[in-house]
Amino acid sequence: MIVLFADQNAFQLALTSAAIPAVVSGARARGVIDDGRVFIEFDARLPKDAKSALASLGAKSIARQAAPELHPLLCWHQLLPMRVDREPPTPTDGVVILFEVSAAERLVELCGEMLRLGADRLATAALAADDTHQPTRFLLRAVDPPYYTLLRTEAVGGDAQRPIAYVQQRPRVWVERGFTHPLIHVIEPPAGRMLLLRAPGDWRLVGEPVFRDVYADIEVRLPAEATPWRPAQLDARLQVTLRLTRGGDDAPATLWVMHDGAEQQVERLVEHADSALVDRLAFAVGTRGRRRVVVLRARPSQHPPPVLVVRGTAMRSYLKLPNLFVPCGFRVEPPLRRDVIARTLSSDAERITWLVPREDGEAAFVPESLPDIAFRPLSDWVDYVIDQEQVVLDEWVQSTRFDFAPFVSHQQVERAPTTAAPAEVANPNDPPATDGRVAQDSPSPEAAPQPADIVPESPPPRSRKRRELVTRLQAIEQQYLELDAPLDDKRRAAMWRDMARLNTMLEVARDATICWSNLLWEHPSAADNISSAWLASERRAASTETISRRQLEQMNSGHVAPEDAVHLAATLVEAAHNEAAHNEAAHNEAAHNEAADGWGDRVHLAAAVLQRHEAMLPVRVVWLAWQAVTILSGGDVLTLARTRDRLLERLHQGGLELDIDMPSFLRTNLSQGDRGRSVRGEFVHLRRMVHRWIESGAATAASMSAINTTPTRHYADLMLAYGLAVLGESAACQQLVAQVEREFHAMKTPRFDQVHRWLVAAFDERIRSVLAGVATTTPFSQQLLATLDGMSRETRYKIDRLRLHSFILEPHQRIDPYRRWDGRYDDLVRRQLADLYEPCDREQLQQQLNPLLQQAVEAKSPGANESWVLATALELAPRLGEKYTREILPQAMSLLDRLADLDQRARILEKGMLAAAHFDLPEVGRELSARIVQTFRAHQEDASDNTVRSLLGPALRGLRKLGLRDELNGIMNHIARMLRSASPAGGAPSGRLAEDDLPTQDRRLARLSMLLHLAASWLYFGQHTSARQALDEVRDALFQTGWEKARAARLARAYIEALAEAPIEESLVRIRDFLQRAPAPIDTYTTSSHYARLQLDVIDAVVRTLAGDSAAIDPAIRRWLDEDELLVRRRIHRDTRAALAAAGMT
Amino acid sequence: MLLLDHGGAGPSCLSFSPDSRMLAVCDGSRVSVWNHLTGDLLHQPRVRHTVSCLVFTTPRNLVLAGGAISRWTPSRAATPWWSWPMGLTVAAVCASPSGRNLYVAANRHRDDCGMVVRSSSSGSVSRQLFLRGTAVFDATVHAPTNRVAVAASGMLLQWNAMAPKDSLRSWTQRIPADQPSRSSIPSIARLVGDGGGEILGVEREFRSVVYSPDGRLLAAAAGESVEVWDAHDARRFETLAHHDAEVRAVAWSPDGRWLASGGDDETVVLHDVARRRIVARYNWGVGRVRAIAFAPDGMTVAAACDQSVAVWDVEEPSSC
Repeated sequence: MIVLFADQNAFQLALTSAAIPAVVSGARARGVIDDGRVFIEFDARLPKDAKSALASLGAKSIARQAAPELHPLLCWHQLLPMRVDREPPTPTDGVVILFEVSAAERLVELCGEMLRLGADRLATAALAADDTHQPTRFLLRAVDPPYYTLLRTEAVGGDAQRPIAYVQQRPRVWVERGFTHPLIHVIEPPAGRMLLLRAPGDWRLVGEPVFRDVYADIEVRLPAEATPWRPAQLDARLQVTLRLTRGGDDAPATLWVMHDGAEQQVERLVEHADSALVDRLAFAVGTRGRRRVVVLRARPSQHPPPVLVVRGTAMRSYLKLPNLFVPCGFRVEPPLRRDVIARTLSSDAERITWLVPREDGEAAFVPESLPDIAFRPLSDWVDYVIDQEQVVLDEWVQSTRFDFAPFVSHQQVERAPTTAAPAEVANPNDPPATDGRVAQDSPSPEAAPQPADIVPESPPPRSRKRRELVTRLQAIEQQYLELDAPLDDKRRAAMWRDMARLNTMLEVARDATICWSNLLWEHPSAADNISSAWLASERRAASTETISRRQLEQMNSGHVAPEDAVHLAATLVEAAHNEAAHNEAAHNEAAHNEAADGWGDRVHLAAAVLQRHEAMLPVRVVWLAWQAVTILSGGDVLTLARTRDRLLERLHQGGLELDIDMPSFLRTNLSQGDRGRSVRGEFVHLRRMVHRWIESGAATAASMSAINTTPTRHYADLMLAYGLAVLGESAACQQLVAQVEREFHAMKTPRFDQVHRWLVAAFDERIRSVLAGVATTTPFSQQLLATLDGMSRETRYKIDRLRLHSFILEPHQRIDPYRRWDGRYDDLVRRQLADLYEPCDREQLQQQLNPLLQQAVEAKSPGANESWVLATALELAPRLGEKYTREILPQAMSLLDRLADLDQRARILEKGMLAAAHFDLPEVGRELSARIVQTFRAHQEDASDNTVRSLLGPALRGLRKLGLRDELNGIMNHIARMLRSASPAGGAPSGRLAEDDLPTQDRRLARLSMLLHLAASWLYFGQHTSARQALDEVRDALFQTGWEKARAARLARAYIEALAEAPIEESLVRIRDFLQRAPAPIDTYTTSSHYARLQLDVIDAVVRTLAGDSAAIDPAIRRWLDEDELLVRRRIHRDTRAALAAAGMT
Repeated sequence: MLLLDHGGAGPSCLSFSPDSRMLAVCDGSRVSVWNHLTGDLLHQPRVRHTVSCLVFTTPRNLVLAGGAISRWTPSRAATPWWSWPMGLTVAAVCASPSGRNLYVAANRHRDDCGMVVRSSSSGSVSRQLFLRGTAVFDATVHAPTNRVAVAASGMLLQWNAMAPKDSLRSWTQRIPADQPSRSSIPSIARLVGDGGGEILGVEREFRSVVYSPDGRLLAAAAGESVEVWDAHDARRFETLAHHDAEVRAVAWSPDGRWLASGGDDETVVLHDVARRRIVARYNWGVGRVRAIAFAPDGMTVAAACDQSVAVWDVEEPSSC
């Protein structure tokens, strides 16, 4: 019977609608598609209802003569042409591909190629023709074959004998890769048979082959007989002489070795440097025979090392080894592995070694060393005394301690004098009067202060004139401090001008730079004189007077001193100002061309130098310089926008930096004491208390006596070592790390397993970063992260769980320890969102996010998914850019109107606030703060402590950054009212619940968490009495028994975190009290085989509170930095928007 | 996170020791006792009968039930404790928190089942309940209120373990031998407080049942959903339909905050019942979920799956 279908659609419908019984359609037939019509001939008899169904589809029976030539078919489905599969499976994650080749030689060639490319999970089988039993086709089954091989199978117009790749799309149905069949889901070959489908319609049914491992079928022959060599020894070990050659990275100097005139240099340094700089230095004196050497060393700090201009050799840490230094711009040749270098050059961990190039050339060097304990804080050896007698203070240091021989500087003789011509600096050098007006008397040349690197034969000014200048500067600084006005008040501008000039005259270069940049920042319109005065000021400190192309090239390839970088910035600003002035005037064409030509070909080089070294410059200087580059390069606003992103990222990571962005008088006057010094001495005592606290946890849990607290103690020690590193106690820190590592290694395998090894290495890396002055906000090294890939998921879970909870290990990144498990996420969207956290560029990220946002909006029940997608997008806002964030914020606001779920609302509000703060969007901050209050009002009873933390933490930080104090106060007042209304006494805000409330631990925890945020806010604004009451109440609650362990740990952690805002003495007292009285929670998580996670959560908080990035800064200074940062961010945003608008790119 | 390789057939039942330090698992023929914190296999007690369910009555006393009931402690081999008539198979066993009473549900010839309450110390049977025409799959007890719930084929019921024996007997006699229908519930339902018991759900296969720690809610696996009942007024509080296949196991966290369910879709879903939302979803890739249990300290949860026992940490939603 031959049936004619009018078209393929009708035929396909007949197959899919079950109009044709499966027995009929699955049997062999003959058919063809001719001119779109489908002819099919089959032997079976059709039931009546099938015939009527076919008739309804327009099919009709025809005579044999009316049909064209028909071809045999395995089943009816074969007649449907195959379709292109637009997303064929890629060879990853265990994808199996079947290759078919026509000859054995081809099979060998294919196997060889795959083995060469690293795919060795191969199996082969042969297919024989039914009649001959001789193999005619060969199959190669490969798991995750090389992509190259796959691409070869797809080559068009190439080798006709090329292998054909198949993918299994149904059990025992293999389809040519890149194609699929429209009815693939119903194709089922008979048992014991396998179907191979090739486009467009080549179907072959073959017996199911037996695959054998590829090595079972390959006989390997050697090309020639093997030659057995006997092992032998070299006559002697190879001797390689290490050399010191130019090269290496441009890491800043952290060690300065002075052989000649060292004592005077140090004396000069401490005379002129502010105490913060002195605090950052340690020094040691060494003797060898009659020679003496003085070594200055930057003490470990979170901030970049200070820059010293001294005559001697500036050294940098080599290969991040804490006790080996090489001269800046040099490296050891040949390059050796770190451990080999350490073993060869600095095997004694307790000695500091540096390599001194020998003057006889040949790249030879002499390793010199001093014991680490010889280095003492420089500040301990400096006594500041009052100059009552108006004489030079020669007795600034005890002679018995500091008995250096005189020295002669050679370097100074070689250097050209860099003092600017009096005429050039006359303007900036005009000293102001003490009332803030510019003074009329300029300093006489003999009274001019000398730079720190001037030979002792011309001593620094100690005359009356200098003291007068200092007195005037102090008077203006005092006026600045006493002025009760915002930081951007116009009255402060005059003070910045005066302070800039006085600092220039006193040659306090760093402070002068900050003052000039603040002045320019506030009054760019009056910048004409300011920029030239600033440039004149910077010229005095810089190594050269002008910046030529050659110098720029040198700066671009080598080490640059901050003075030179600032000089470049000032030069650019001045040049841009001239350019703008010329453009405005537009009547002096020649001059304009001259100015443009002067920088036109150098500006890109200058930009490269600036970008490379901008981290060492104050944020304001960086921005001013890049604005100048934009002008000089003819309005490259995209470069400016990229600079904005970099600076915002820098501010996002660490805010304004104390050492770089704040003038020394503010640091000195706002600081109420040295927090670091108070804590440093406490750490040893604290360690004993922490150990006792950990042990007490195990002891109180009688049934847990089997718990081994040793690893937990070791991890607590590593956390404390991190704290010591942050506080600059490098020797104590390294000693503690070495002790912990020894004790860990003593555990031996299997107890010292992969988990411990990795975590110890991770802590070690973080500690070394701090000691090297590198920010710990960066991800771990690739080497360390790569070791994670080879671990089992269970092992990795234990590592990732601690990474998730420890802010020391992961200050910013939130690790999901279950990310490696499929099915962890509700749906594909959640999994795709998790993948967005992998590093990628902005456009790529936006492209990945866009379809997810679209899908979430178009979903039938948008709520949950949309909230996840939007929250993720807002969290990634810094990477997505301002424009994109501004586009999604309205969508987030609209979603907030519809969202009822508290946690989802909290998530959006938290991430939205962080994004608003990052891009300085105060209007968004206001709206979000109103919604936070609304949310608390609506969910007063069911907010968990996590929700409170999500809502209030970012609100506190975000609103502070946005300068929205009223909104911040509004939220906090609302919280205070809420707590007051719930208080049984009805008085002060309290975390206690009224008698008739349900006293569940969760609700109590939420209220105490609110109270802690309130206390932190009060501490920030200086309301210490209220804050103390609140902290006392939480402390009393903590000491109560009956808390479930995880909740107790959460409360303890929140309590200790809140103490970060308190004065350091109070923080210390409360933490000591906590460790003595609070029970240590013992957990039974699956991680407890390696560490007690809840205890480490608390210790992590203790260390961050006492030695965290912000803990070392006095609260008053932090407030100032916050406010100043707000001004900086606003200006950066304002300028960028204006520049983009001017370029028509808004 | 740990995957414990029990070996043999897929584990069917698990129980944490009251001090949350040991996890016992059985699969019908084999029993394993693990330190689930380290992944160490501590003991493999040899038992002479089949073991289909087990429960810790004290930190070091494990009751093993199947073809018979045995007791096992780490220091002693498993010893027979209670013999059953031939053909009777224990389907569920649970203990009061004090370990004083043991509640055993058993099936006979697939069409009759019963449940007894036995004193652990004296061995005397204080209450018993017989049901005709059905098979019991699971049972649970809430000791403070003396309520016992039974998940059976076509029926979910709860009864008062302290009700007078006569009233209990008369109540069970009113349950029809063929499985009751929705229309017959009013005639046989009685308040637990008045003695006897009450039928909550009918016409579905109830595979697993568990009381919330405060006894106010009763969660039962019913087909592809989880039904949450108000145990006081026998009203269905919520139906949670978040699985794609039959649900086999349910468990409450000790603080009553979360309800875990797992089944043939190989997934464990953690529900926040009060807020009516899913907290987390886990698929460990080790097969269908047969049983779930929270550690008594609430820090870990274990799921018996076809190929392994998965043990993982229970964390706050924001961090898990």
